[in-house]
Amino acid sequence: MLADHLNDEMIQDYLDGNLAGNSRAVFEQHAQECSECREAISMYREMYAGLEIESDFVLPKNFTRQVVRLTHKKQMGSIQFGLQQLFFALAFLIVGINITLYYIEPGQATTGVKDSIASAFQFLPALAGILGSLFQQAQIPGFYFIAIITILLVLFVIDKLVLQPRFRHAS
Amino acid sequence: MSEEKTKIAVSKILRGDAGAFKEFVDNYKRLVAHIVFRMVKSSADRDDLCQEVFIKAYENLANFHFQSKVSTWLAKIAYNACLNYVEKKRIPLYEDSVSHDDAFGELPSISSSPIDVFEQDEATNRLMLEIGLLPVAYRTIVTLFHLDELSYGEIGNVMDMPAGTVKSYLFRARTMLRERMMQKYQKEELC
Repeated sequence: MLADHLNDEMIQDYLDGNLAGNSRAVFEQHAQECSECREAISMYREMYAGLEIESDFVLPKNFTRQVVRLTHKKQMGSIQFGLQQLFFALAFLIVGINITLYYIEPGQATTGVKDSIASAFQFLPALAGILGSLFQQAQIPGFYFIAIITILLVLFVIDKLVLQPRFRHAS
Repeated sequence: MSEEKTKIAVSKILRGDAGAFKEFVDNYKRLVAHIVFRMVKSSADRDDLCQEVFIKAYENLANFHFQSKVSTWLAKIAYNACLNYVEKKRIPLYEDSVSHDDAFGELPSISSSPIDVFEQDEATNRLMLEIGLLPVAYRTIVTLFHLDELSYGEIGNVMDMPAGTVKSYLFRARTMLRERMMQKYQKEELC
């Protein structure tokens, strides 16, 4: 038996299902006997019912479709970015190989900075030698090859820095 | 959605199944909307933010290892996104931009209609307005507890606070709501 009325904390605990056993029984007994507390419980019950009402949480009808489309777009964007990175790396490697092919004679000793570059990129002359022989077999002049790669690189930079930002802004 | 079904759905999404992701969004958009709509006032920004939450979830799904329920994880993303958004945009939080009297000024008076149903709707509207006037943390807790049925521990996980603090805030929020509603009705009875 409770000496005082039920307080807010007890009522909330009861309605949340936190009261069990003896304390729940004492609570319910008091509620049966006290109209004032019954009224307080009833008010809380009404409030709880109100708190469970979905109000204006309305998203656009095509929300799910929009999200799926956006994630797909992002995914494609990251694949495109990856391909661009790969292209850039490959172009850089090929230009490097070609420059090496022209300016560093394989097997020839150089001095100073050239020497250290040559030692750092030891693999390049060998690779360049292989590619060079392939180019010769295919009868592609090295100068034109470098020119094509340089044009592609310039186009890549223009696309990345000018065209893509404009397209993004427009969309 | 059961835990096992959720795991299957997540693995499907990670394999690039757009249909599974669509289902995932449909299942959890209600939860995300509850949090975002309670924390952000601007309706245009709310939709964008809800989208952002799902995109973030999609991007980070591979790092989710089911240490918690998907709903808790997603609610945490939504809660943090709302906090970042409000901070970044310097948007006033809801309770800062709506004055108590203004909020009630928009409603018709209770005596304008004798119909009980209408009065019930009006009481609900008032309750919604009062929830909007609670501090952000309180109204988020009330929403997660009553609408999304998250436990004290889960809410604490979402909001980075102990379960005891969640319980205490929830108690204070509901007591505050009850007092404000009672005050309002008493005022109207006197008029």
